[in-house]
Amino acid sequence: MITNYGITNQFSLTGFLPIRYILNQKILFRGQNKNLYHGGKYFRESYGFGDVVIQARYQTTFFSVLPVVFGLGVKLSNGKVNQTDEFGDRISDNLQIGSGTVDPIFSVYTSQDVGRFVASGGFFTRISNGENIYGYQYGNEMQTLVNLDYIENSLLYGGIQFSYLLTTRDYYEYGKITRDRGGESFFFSGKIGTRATNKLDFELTLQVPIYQNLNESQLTSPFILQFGSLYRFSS
Amino acid sequence: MNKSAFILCFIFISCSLYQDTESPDIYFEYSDFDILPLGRSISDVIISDNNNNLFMTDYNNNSLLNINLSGDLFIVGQVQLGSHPIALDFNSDKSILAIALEGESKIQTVDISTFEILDEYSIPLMNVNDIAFINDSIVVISSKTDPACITVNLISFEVESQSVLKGELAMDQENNILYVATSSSIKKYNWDGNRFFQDSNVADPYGFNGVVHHFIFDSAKNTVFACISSSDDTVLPIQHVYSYFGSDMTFAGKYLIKSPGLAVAVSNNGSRIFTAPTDADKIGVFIIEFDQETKLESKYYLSAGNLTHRGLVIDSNAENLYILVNIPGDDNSFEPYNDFSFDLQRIKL
Repeated sequence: MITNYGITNQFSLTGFLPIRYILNQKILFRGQNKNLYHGGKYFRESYGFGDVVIQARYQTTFFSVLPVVFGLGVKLSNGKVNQTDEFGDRISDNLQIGSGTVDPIFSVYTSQDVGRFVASGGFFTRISNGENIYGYQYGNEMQTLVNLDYIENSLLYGGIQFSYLLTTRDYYEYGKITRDRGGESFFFSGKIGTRATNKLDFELTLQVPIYQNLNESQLTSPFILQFGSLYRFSS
Repeated sequence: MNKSAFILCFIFISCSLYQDTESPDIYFEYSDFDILPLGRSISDVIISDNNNNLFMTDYNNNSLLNINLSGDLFIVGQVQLGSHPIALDFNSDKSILAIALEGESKIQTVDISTFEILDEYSIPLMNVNDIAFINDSIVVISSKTDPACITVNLISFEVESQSVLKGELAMDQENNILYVATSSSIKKYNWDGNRFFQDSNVADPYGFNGVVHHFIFDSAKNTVFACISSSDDTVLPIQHVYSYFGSDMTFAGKYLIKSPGLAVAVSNNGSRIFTAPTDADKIGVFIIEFDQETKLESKYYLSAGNLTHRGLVIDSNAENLYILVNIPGDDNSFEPYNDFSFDLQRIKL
């Protein structure tokens, strides 16, 4: 859930409150887990509120025509990092819903109207702030995106987006590399939306990866279909 | 510097923070291995003289499988046998297979050239566990429940009880010596043409009640190799494959594999020893190769799954290793017939 509150025309506060559910299934070989000695299917799951992100945004205009929004914030460490498996052993860090560290976040966003089109672009980064209490350090994250939206009328709009996501490797304590984490991806997204009322929008987005170079073996989705809504408390 | 240049410079510097210089680790999936999917419960495996065929006894389907090894792996033929074939052995020219049945008091012989059953022999044993050719006309058979082994003459059908303790069998046909890995120690018996007599050289006992998973004789170095685990929970886990000198039954080597051995194979010249451990390490299950001289590990070969007893064979040129592998994904389900089934994996050495 994303909430945004405008304090002034230039300054606003944004909060991201993720509700997460993670389910992982793997096949164990004999001897790899003392609780499941002969091997077989092994399930781990975690769920609940993930790490909350709070960001302050400031909008200014460059060259009198180019609006730019700067965002500065933190990702909190409220998400649980001590979920256990069915045998009571703590599950892997990258399956926990929280990261266990408070990380700084920075973003830049700009947009420009060109007739019925709106061109926009942005940059977002999260810098990992060290190890959590279990010695695990998440990698850094950087995302850049370019949007081109088309507004047909007050009811219908659509758009396309190219985005690039780069995540670096995670590390265990003492610098040991975590396998199957990190890599880079390019995505293409198509979007169609409608302004149902003056206060309520509905949006449907289809995101397709066009290039991925991920470390080791990672599960990826061939496409992501996303349905979202936006409600304005005052307009 | 104007403002737009400043922003571009900032993005560029930010990007440069994300250089990932670590080399990716190698990761294999099941489909990356050279696998013949079988889904069978294989009890014993033996390779042909020309290395082109592998013969396997399929315990649950009461059959003998003939697998093509030259080029792609595939099933060439299948012969229906009696109840629960448990062990097999070749005669000296590898033209006839003798097969022991655990589920009936019977053994069978199969002609390799025609791949048909030659003969059946009734025996006074039940729960047979192993069979070995003494020479081209006589086989020795061991049972899990009868304390003594028997011999069967394949020409005269004559059966004789022998003063040989039950266990896993390994025959030195050239010197008429039978080695038996019993639950307590390795025994050595000499064949006089009619009966076995225990040799004066006796191996030290293991010191625990052992379960023997595989037992072979290596003629090049005149040694025997035993894969043993302990059936006693109070004994510390066995972590080695043991070998003994055939001449005097003294200890010839102890190969550390961190868990009980399930199978062992030796190259024709006796210099390379391949072992199949019971347990996986954190990354996966590995076949471990040892150097006979140093008794130290020399190479690791990643297997596609869990290994099984007797499920390891090497060809005579030491070019390929054949192992039986089981992916334990379905083993804990309640679906019938999908538990602990094995596929054949080929590893190029």
